[in-house]
Amino acid sequence: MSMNKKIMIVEDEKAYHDLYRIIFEGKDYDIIYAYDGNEAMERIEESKPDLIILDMLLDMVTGDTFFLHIKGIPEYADIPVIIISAFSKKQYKNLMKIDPSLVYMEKTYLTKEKLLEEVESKLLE
Amino acid sequence: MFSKIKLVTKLLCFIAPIMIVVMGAVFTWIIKKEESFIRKEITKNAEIIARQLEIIRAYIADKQDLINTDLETGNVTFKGLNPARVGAAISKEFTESTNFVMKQTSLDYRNPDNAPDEFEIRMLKQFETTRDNEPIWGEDFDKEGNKRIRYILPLYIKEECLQCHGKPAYEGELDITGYEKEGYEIGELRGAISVAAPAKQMEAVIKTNSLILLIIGIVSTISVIFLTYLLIRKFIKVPLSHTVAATKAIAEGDLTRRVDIRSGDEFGELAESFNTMAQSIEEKTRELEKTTHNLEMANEELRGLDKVKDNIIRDVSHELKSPLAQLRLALELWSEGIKDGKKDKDKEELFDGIIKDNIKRLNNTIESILELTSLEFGREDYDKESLQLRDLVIRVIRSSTLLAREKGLTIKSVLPEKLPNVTVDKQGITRVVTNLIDNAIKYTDKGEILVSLQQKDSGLEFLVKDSGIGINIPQEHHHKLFDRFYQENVATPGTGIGLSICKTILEAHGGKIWVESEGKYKGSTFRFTLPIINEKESLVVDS
Repeated sequence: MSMNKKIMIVEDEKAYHDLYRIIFEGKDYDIIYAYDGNEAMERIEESKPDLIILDMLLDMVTGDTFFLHIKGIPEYADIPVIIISAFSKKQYKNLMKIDPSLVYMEKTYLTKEKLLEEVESKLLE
Repeated sequence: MFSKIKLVTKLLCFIAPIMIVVMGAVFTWIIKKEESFIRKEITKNAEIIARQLEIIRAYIADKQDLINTDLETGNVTFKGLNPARVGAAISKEFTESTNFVMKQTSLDYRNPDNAPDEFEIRMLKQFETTRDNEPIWGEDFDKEGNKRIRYILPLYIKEECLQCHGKPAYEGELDITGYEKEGYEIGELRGAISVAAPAKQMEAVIKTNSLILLIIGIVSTISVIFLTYLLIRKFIKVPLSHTVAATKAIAEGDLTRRVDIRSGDEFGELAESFNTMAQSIEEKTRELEKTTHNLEMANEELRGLDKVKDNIIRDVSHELKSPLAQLRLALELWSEGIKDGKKDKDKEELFDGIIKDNIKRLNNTIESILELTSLEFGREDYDKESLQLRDLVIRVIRSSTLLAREKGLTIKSVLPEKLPNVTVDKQGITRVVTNLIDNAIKYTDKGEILVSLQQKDSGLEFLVKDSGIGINIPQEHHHKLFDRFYQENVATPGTGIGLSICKTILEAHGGKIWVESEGKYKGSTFRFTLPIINEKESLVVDS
C-alpha cells in the first residue's frame, strides 16, 4: 500500500487530464481521474483522496453540485478542494462562503508552478 | 348639519311648513268670510224688524187722531195705542216669540223697561251729537257673557211727535198719555229702536264649519305631503339612489355596473350620460390594464434578456477562455520540456494535438460569433431562388453519410417527389439542413436517423429525428436551445451557436423552427417549415 498522497482530478476534458498528468509527473502523488460528478462520487468512496482538483462545467452532475454534496458528508467534508475553471472567480463566491479554505484558480492563468505550489500547501495543512 | 339630511327630508322640510301656512291662510279666510256673511244676514234681519217697527210707529203716530176720536160723538179719548205703547207691545211680543231681543230705548225714558244698557247709552249719545239717520250695528256681551250682535236705529222728533213730546204750554203740562211733555223740538233725538241678536248660533255654525275645514285642511296637507313624498321617491329618490349606487360600485372597482333608468326626463339623460361615461371608464381602464400588463411583460422580458445577456457573456468568455487556457498550459509544459532538453515524442504529439484542437476550437467559436452577428445585423445578403428542397436535402444527406457511417449510424430518408418549390437562399438553407443532420449524428451513438419532407398547410416541413441523448429540460424551455451559446449538453463539443444561426436564417425566410423530445436519452425531433410561394408571387417578390 503506497503512502503517497492521493489527488483526485475531476475534469470533463481529456486534454486536461493529459496536461495534469504531465504536471504531476515525477511527484509523489497518486492521481485518481474522474470525468464527471457521478464518477467522482464513485472514486471518492473507493480511494478517500487527500485533495480534490475540481472543474466546474461537468456533464450530468456539475462541479458545484458535487462540491456541495461532499461538504454535506462529514467523512469527506474536510477534504481540501481546489477549483480550477474557465469561469471567473466571482461566479462561485457562494461556494467560498460555505468553505473559506476553498482555493479557486482560473484556468486562463493556470501555470504548473502555481498549481504545484497550491497543491503542496494544501496537502501540508 | 342640514347638509347631511337626506334630499327627501329636506324637500319635505320646505314643503310641509308652506303647506301648513297656505292651508291656515285659506282656512282663516273662509272662516272670516263665513262669519261676515252670517253677521250680514243677522244684521239685515235686525234692520227689517227695526224698520217695520219704525213704520208701524210712524203709522200709529199718523193715525192718533183717528184712533183717539170717537166717531159718533167726536170726543177725543186716549185709547192706549200711541207709537210708544204699540212699539213696546210688538217688541215684547217679538222678543218672546223669537230669539231676537227688541226694545225701544231713550236716554230720557218714561217707562223704566226702556232704560238703555251700556251699548245703547253710547250709541244714543252718538246719535244725539251727529243726528245721523243711519242705523249703527255692533257687538257686545249680555249679562251672562254671551256675544250679541247689536242693531240700533235712531228716532228723531217729527211734527207728529210734538203733541206728546213738544214744548209744554205751561209748566208741567201732561200729554194725552198722562206724562209730562219734555219740550223737544223737531229733529232732536228722542230715542232708538234697539235689536239684539245672539251670536251663539252664528258661533256654533262657524265652530262646526271650522272643525270640518280643519279636518279637510289636515287631511289635505298630509295627503299633499305624502303624495309629494311618493312623487319625490319615484321620480327623484329612486333614480338618484340607483345612480349613487352605480357610482359607488364603479368607485369600488365594479366597472361593468350601469344605471338602468329608461325614463325620458333629466334622470334618463343623466343615466344615459353616466352609462356612456362608465363605458368609457371601463374601456380606458381595460386599456390601461392591458398596457400595464404589456409593460410588465416587457419589463419581465427585459429582465430575462438581461439575464440572457449575462449568460451569453459568461458562456462566450468560457468558450474563448477554455481553449486559450489549454493552449497556454500546453505551450508552457512543452517549452519547459524543450528547456530541460528532454525529447519525448509521445508528449510532443500530445501537445501538438491539444494545440491544434484548441486553435480549431477557437477559430470555430470566433467564426460563429462573427457569422451570427452579421446575420442578426442583416449584413448577410440572401440570394433567393426557387428550388426543390428535396434535391438540397439529398445532397446534404449524401455528404453526411460518411460521418454517420463512422459512428455506425444509418440515415433513413422519406422524401416525396413532386413537392412544390420553395424560394430560398440555397447556401443558407443548406447550412440549416447540414447543421440539423450533423447535430443528430453528433448526439446519437447508435440506431438510425430519420430525415423527411412533407407538405403541410403552413408550408413545407422538414424533419430530422434521432434516437440520441434527447433533451433534459422541460418542454416550455425548449426554445432556449435556439438561444445563442445555449448548450444543453456542456460536455459535448460545439459552440452552442449552430441552432441560433438556423433560427435566424429560417426567420429571414418567413419560416420557423422547433424541437420535440420526450426527455433525456429519448431522442429528439427537430422540425422547420418554409412557406411555399407560388411562381407568380415569387416573381412579384423578386421584382
